[in-house]
Amino acid sequence: MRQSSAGLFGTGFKRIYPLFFLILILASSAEAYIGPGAGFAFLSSFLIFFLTFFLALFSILSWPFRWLFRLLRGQKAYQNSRVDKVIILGFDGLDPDLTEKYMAQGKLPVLSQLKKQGTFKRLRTTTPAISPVAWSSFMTGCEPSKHNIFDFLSRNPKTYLPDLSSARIGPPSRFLKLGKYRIPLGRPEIRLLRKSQPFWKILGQEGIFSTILRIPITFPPEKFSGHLLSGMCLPDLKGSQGTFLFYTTNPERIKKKEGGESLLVERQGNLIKTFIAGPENSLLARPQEIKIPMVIRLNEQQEQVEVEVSGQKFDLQKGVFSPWIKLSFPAGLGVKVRAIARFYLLSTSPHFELYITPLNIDPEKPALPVSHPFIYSSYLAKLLGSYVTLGEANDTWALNEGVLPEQAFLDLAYSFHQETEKILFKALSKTKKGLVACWFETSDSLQHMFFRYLDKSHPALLSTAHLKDGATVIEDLYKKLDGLAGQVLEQSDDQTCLIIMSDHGFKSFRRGINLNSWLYLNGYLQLKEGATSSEEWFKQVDWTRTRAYGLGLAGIYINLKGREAQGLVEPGEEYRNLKKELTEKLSGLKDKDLGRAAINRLIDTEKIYHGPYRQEAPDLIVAYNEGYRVSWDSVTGRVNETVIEDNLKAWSGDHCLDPDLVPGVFFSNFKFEIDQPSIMDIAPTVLDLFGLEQPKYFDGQSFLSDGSQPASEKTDKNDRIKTEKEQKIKKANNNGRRKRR
Amino acid sequence: MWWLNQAVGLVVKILLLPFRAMNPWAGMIFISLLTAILMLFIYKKTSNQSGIKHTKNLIKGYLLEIRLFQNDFAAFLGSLKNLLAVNLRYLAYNLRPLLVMIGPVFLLLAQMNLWFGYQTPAPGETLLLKVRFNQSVEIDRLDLELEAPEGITVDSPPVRIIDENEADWRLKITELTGGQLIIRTGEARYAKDLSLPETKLARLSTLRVNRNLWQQLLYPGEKPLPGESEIKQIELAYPEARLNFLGLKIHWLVAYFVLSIIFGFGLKGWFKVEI
Repeated sequence: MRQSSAGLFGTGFKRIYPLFFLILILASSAEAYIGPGAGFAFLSSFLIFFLTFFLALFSILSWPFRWLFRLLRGQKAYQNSRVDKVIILGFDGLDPDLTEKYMAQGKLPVLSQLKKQGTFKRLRTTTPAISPVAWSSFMTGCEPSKHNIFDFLSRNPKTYLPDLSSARIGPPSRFLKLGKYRIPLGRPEIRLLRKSQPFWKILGQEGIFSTILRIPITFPPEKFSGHLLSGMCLPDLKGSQGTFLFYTTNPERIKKKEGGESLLVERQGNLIKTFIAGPENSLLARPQEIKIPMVIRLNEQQEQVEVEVSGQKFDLQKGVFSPWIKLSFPAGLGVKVRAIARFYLLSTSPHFELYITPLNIDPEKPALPVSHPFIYSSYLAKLLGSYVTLGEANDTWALNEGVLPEQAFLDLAYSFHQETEKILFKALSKTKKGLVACWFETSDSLQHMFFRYLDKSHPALLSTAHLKDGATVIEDLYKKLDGLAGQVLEQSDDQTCLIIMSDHGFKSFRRGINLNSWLYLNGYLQLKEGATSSEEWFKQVDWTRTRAYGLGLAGIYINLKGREAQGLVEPGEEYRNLKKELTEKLSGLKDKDLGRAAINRLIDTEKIYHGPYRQEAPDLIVAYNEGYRVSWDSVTGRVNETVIEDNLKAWSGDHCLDPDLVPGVFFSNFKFEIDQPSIMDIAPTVLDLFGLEQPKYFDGQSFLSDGSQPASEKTDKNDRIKTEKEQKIKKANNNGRRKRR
Repeated sequence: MWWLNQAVGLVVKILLLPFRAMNPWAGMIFISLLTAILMLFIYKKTSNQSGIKHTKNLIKGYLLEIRLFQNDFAAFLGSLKNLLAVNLRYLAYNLRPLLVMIGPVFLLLAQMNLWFGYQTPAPGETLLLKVRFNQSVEIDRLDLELEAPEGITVDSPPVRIIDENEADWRLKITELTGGQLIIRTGEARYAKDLSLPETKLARLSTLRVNRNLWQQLLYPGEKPLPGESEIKQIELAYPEARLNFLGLKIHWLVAYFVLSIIFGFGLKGWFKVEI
């Protein structure tokens, strides 16, 4: 006779009791019965406990080996270091004149304190004074011809067309054709075009950990010992530098929008059926945009809509930005490309209008590497939520083109600013020793877009300035940055060197100069037979008869034989004579309407650049006078008969002028005895602060290179670490540098 | 309670009706799938989905943090502490759906135990009938009789276990049948269902219990004993059933646990449920 105890809790149950015993310990016994719900939660939770335990054990056991490994590699981090930590806050475009003005008015207490107790200087910028150029010099310690970044755009001498100067993204070289698909047999080409190496790579080689956040020209991210989140020039999912989407039922509002796409939609009752066009599907043999359907239900009375897209439904109130919405673009073969975007309802009646930010690469599941290591962007997104990844996050074009109202632009810009702040403070909380460098774009974008409020004579002021508190936008911005500096300073101890810097300053941009038109009217640039103007990107230009042309923000290129595809100017004497001739004619070019010089001088790059990439630079850099800049048309290779014209866009402040007129700022809580510091000096200074030797190729000079020691108001650590041995090392380093110079 | 058990029992009976002649795995897969869907629905409606999503993100984030800061021991310990804290928060988020689900699932599991917990003995095998009396009853003085339906032979006289206040009979199965076992204690008469079907999946009630609510929840197979009954429980010890998986004998609860989790996990994306 079989002896069995019946019932749910019989012997059979007892045999599996150990499993449920665990459940009892870790959660609640009842969870064992819930199956897919809390049962699964229990399993996940148990897995996490297990993983945590395993990681802890692994970390503890491997600690001695890792320590030994570092020792064997000869890393002697911090051995000669004067500081534990260096924090660099890069406020793009923070202007010394405005800073001084607001400090004098007592509006920037933190920066004023730094000026008083630490250091405040005007920081010489690069030639040209453009962010990608200046930040590349900041990180490499070199002049532009050593890092190969001369502008946002570089020209392709074979086609005379522009390329992005900092990175190249191309398809893989080989594919396997499979019906309508083509399967890539390799990785796509994602190449950083900036040369030389950033100073944090040198720090990493010596065992000093760095966290680099959003610093320009760091896409694609390079490998080094630290964490990096790419910044300016990181594209959106479409591969552009930011393409917003604008939907409207108003046919009159549909026209070509710079930096965006407009879509006329049709309303059927309260319903609008449309789509979001995503990236090009490179898996298809004939690539085409991946489109995901979007359904919008209007509620005019409440001025709101319900948006249904990518498997989600959400309400959107007029004048309020949605949070980040995740969008998934199916490419086929199970591949999905993920983006994030924010939606903004502009109006429901009489016309429906909707703005969508550029499709940012989703940092949680990035389609392209946006960080180093790859998981770093995902880690930040998991802990802090989605955040903007587009290099130039603030949608200046949407404001310029009249799609976004000024207040909406401000709200969006400050929300992005807040995201970067959160990332910065997360990094600071995890960094006890090492470098943290973070770039803030807001200072640049807001000054570009709101400078007209500070300049009562700006031609765009009447037509574009509608913001009630517009006059205080820039002042508020400076105060906000001052507050941020204060918060960071609070987290800094006496072993921390805080550097607050900008890459250039800002001036009003009232009048634009079309260099190409001037070159055309003066016979240096020729149009094809019968043409009186050129379309975008020199479409009607006759290259066989053109001797010089301007492209991008920086300057003028000579159509040089052997370099340009249809070059006709002979290298040597003819080349030099032409440069001299252009310099003489353009320097001091008069703005006849205002009776003042529009161009101060032309800078021959042959004379200022000595690096290996100087062939890639413009031949002449135009140093515009205050109030002037290259015109919008000239930047994009449009030729007409107007040379100087009013700038009527909201983009009313700029820095692409004579570099002497737009220095940046340098603040520190340490006292540095320096005169006329340059942005190229930051890299050598940071290496010096960490007690590391300077590479010979640096063009910058450490602020400590004259043997002076930094002095923190709070600390006398420098005295403490100044051993006799260190002094000797220091002296030897300085001697070496002097000889090189 | 009895009516509730009857209702749930009827639903389960209808659901499993098509599977009676099939391998018990078929019924088990079906019911696991069905309950997984039901539980996903309940879970979605009763849990804080955004909170769970956020907490799960934090957990993943701290796991990545451990990986990212593996060379910094202090940072590592900080991440570990945060990880454990959010894990607890994650468990806390599961309490509400757990409380909502525990009732219906408990009723369902008690019913499933009737279908999957035991198997029909073969003719020639014996079964033990155990009758447990209240403490107040002196069983040595009781006049005990047992009537068995046709096809069942009472193989032994009642064995009285005084310490347990229990009387046991051994029954021999001569043919597969059904009906009631009648236990007589003097003038009182108590019945116990006996079911010996030939189907592969059968509902077998092992215990008839008294009116204790907890007991009724656990053993819903039969109407509870009358309130004034001197008997506490009547147990018919059917042999335990096991599900055969590649030669492994698996308890049905384990199979249900694993299957429902697999289905739940597999379908959560479809139903957009954050678990």
